Amino acid sequence: MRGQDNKLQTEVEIYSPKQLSVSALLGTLVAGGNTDTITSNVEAITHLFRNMVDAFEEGIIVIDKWGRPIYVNRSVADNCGFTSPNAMLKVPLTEMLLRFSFKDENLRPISRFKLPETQALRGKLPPATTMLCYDKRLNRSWWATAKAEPILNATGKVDGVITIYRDITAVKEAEMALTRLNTELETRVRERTEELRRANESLETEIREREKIEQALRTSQAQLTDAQKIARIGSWEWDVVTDQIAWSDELYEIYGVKRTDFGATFDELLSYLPPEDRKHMQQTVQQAIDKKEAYTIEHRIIRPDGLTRTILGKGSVSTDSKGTVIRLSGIAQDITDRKELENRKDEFISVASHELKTPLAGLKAFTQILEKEIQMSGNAVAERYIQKMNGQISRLTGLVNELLDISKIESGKLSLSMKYFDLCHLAQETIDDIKHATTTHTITYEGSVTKNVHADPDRIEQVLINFLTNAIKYSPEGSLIEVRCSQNDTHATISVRDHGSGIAPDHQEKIFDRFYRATTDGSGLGLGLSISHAIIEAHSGTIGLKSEAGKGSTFYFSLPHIKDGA
Amino acid sequence: MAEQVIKHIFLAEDDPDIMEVIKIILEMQGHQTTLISRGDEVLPTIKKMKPDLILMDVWMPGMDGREVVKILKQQESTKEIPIIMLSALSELEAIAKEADANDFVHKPFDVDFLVEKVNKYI
Repeated sequence: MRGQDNKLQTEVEIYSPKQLSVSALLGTLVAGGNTDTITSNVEAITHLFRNMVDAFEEGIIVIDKWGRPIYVNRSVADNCGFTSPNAMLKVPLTEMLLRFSFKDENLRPISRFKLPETQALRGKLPPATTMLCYDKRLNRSWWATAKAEPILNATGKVDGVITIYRDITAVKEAEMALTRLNTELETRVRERTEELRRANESLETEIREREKIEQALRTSQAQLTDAQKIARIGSWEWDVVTDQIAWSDELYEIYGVKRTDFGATFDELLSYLPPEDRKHMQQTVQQAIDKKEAYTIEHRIIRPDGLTRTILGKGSVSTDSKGTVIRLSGIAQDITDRKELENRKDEFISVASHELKTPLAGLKAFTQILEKEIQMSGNAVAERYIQKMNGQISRLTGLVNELLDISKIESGKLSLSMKYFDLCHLAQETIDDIKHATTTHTITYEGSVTKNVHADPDRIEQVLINFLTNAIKYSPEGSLIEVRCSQNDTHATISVRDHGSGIAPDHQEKIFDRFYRATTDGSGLGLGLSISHAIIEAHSGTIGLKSEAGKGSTFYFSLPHIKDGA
Repeated sequence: MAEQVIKHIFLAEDDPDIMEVIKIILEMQGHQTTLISRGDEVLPTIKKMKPDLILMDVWMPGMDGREVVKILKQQESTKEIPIIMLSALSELEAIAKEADANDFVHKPFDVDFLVEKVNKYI
């Protein structure tokens, strides 16, 4: 309790510079006493009150019945920037009225007649009013609650008004900050909700897009599967590092294996191949890995159901950044049907060739025997006819051979019987044979070589005969045909020059094409030069012509000759 | 043809006209011929008489000419008999080589060329 006493003591000290004790004062008042004493006591009390009222934080204003301030406490004076309450009271009323303005809690202006003190002047007892006060001179606002009460005289008439202002700016600001915070929070919540809504919307859009993409992917996957099914092509990927093979659905179909039954390793794959095909497969794949290059392989498989199928495989190699092979991928196609068809076609060509040539053989042999008979009988007319027959038979044989050759070339079955020989000797022999049958042209020959070629002499002869018969066919009777045989470091070359009409440049490009005929006159199938072209290509040689319209043509071919005249 | 020794030639050929014309050609040369029109008749016939030369077609009923030649060339009793294969097949050279025949003649042939080949072996 001592603390409380001390506090009271302190307050008294502040408010009472004259060191008057309250109890003493009260005691004096109560006791009455003489006028002097009372006067001095009233002064002391007034002084004490002033001090007390001045010490209030609340502002206190007392106005007379005309509205003129007659008392303000220190808080009011301080608030309005005056040095003392008296200084403030000296300011004329009009000036004060102009200086201050008031707004209600909704910041609507409060008219002077509605102010609590004005109402109180009219004898009303207005409720406490919260308002925003604005001091124009100091350009300062503050919130206050004002409570005004009329001061009634003995007759009950209003003599003045006492108004107590409490500065609630801090509370109001806190309230406003809270409201602002609240509003801000609400705004943020609204914004965040909006953001979330938008995010949700875009997520939904994305999901829809994704579904569309997935659908498209499924569709293209289905199309790929269909395409693989139709083409009987499967695709695969082999992870070389982990030795895992991934197959497309169609590949399982081709192999006749269920997904669950395939161990997906290279060794397991090999086990589907017949033993005689395995080594080739291993070597091909190993070489692709070693050389980092693509490969093509044809092999058979024996399916679990016992069917043998022929597969065309193609693979390519993928490497990592260091160049190490990590993956092989490619396709595998079931070409069994195509293969069968090819085989049937080959067989057909073989049979057709046989069946066409057999009657020709009979015809030719009988004609030749007949020729001998007629020669002996000395019938010159019959002999001439029989020679014509021989010529026609040769021509027919040539045509059949051309057709068969082109069939073989088309199916890549042109076989060569390679021998070592002197190309110039072959040319001379061929020319001798042709000379026997040719009376219309003069054929000359020059040149020799020191090195042999490695080639099929029958096929090379065929090319040379083709050149010579063309030269005879397309150059005027009695003109010269010049054959030259030569060599350089790498090749032996034979050229046949005629003195015919020559070949225009636009025909030159196409003259080795199949079925192409530079002129519409003359006979033949237009296959001779394309067969010659294929034959020389099969020997890794070159074939060509030089020609100028009106100056004849020179056809040539070159074959690589072997190193040391073997 | 100064030396007139009669040679005996087997001709295995399924086409009757070709068979006839070759028979004529061989007989014009003074040779004796035995004509066989089926592949599977060659081996039984050869057991009865041994020819100086065999002309053998490739495609024949009963047994393929290739098979016949292979057997003849493997049998001790017949391997010395020269065989010339005849055919219109373009791969005849390879066929003859594989069957170990002595020679081959493509159809259609020149009569003189056939005669030359026959005379080479008898």
